[in-house]
Amino acid sequence: MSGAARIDEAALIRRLQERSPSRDAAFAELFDAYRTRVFAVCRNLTRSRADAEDATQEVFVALMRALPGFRGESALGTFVHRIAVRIAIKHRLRSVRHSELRVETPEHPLVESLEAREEQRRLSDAVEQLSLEHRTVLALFAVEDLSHREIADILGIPEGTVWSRLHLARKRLAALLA
Amino acid sequence: MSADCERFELEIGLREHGLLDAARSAALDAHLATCASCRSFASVARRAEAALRRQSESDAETIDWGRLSANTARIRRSYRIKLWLAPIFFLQVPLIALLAPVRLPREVLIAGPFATVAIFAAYVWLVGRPFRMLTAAARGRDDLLLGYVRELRRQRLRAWIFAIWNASVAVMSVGCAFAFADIRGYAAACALFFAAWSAYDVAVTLPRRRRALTEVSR
Repeated sequence: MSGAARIDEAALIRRLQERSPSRDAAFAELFDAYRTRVFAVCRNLTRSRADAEDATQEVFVALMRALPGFRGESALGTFVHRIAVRIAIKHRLRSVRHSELRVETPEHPLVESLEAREEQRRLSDAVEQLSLEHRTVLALFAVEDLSHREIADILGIPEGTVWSRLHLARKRLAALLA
Repeated sequence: MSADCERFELEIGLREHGLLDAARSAALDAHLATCASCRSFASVARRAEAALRRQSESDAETIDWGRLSANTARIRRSYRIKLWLAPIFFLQVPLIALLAPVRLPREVLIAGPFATVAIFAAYVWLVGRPFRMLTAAARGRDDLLLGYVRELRRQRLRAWIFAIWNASVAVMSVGCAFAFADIRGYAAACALFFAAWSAYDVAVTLPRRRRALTEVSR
């Protein structure tokens, strides 16, 4: 997040839109600035880490293609997130047919005790049971720390719908974990 | 759980964004002190959101970003190569036909471009589709899921067109009076292949994506 905040967006977009040798360097800068955020979106919307890595790669390929046509109607971060969410959803759709495979619940090196791991697994399983719409809003809000306005811009929905989806996601989680 | 709980649950979210004034915040605290249901709601939301954050943070720490970056460049290259192969692939038939040392019959002159375009369009559509899906992700401001429903409808229509178009090209290639049986056979095989691929899309791939979309939206 801090990496994304540090870059000079306007200059970076200009360099990415030019057909010059500096374009690759600009793309590397974009990759460094947004890779963690893009991966976080993909990780929370796909079923496994491997899917998330594939989706992250595709997001940057799409960005390279799409940025020449970017007219700056939204912030670069919003644009990157919009693409990331769409591609993560596409991966999710593709992996539905393999849904008989258990969803990967990651082992967290930072989570030491058995109880904490069990708690983490329960929470991950509950989040996994949310509908894609609710999960997307929750991931953008909780992980990316975006405002309701930004989430509404990314998803192309009214701000009120973001509020209601977030609230319903939390209610569903509370019901699942009760 | 009281009738006010719904309102307080919403206010928990408002407070997280600093959108709750002091008086309402104090009222919320007073309510939380007495309502186990709302306390549980707030706690579950906090814990689940922390779990989501931990999940992506711990995975991101162990990613080989260099490999990911190199893979991204490789994907870009491979799409470009596949699309550049299209002209080589489809221009063979008209070139051989034009260079043939005989006068081409009228029906070949009419059907040739039709067949060439059908095979070329199907190739570019089917091979380039994953790439176009990527660029399509950047377009439009629709609600994401609604956007996908529309995209699937459009793809289904295109798949129907290519299936019918290429099937008719295959039939024409077999039946036409062009003397070179090898070229006719090549054109028929290409058209048949793309007709079958498009038909598979119509019958299997696209309905499966639609079902998946319904499933994840539930």
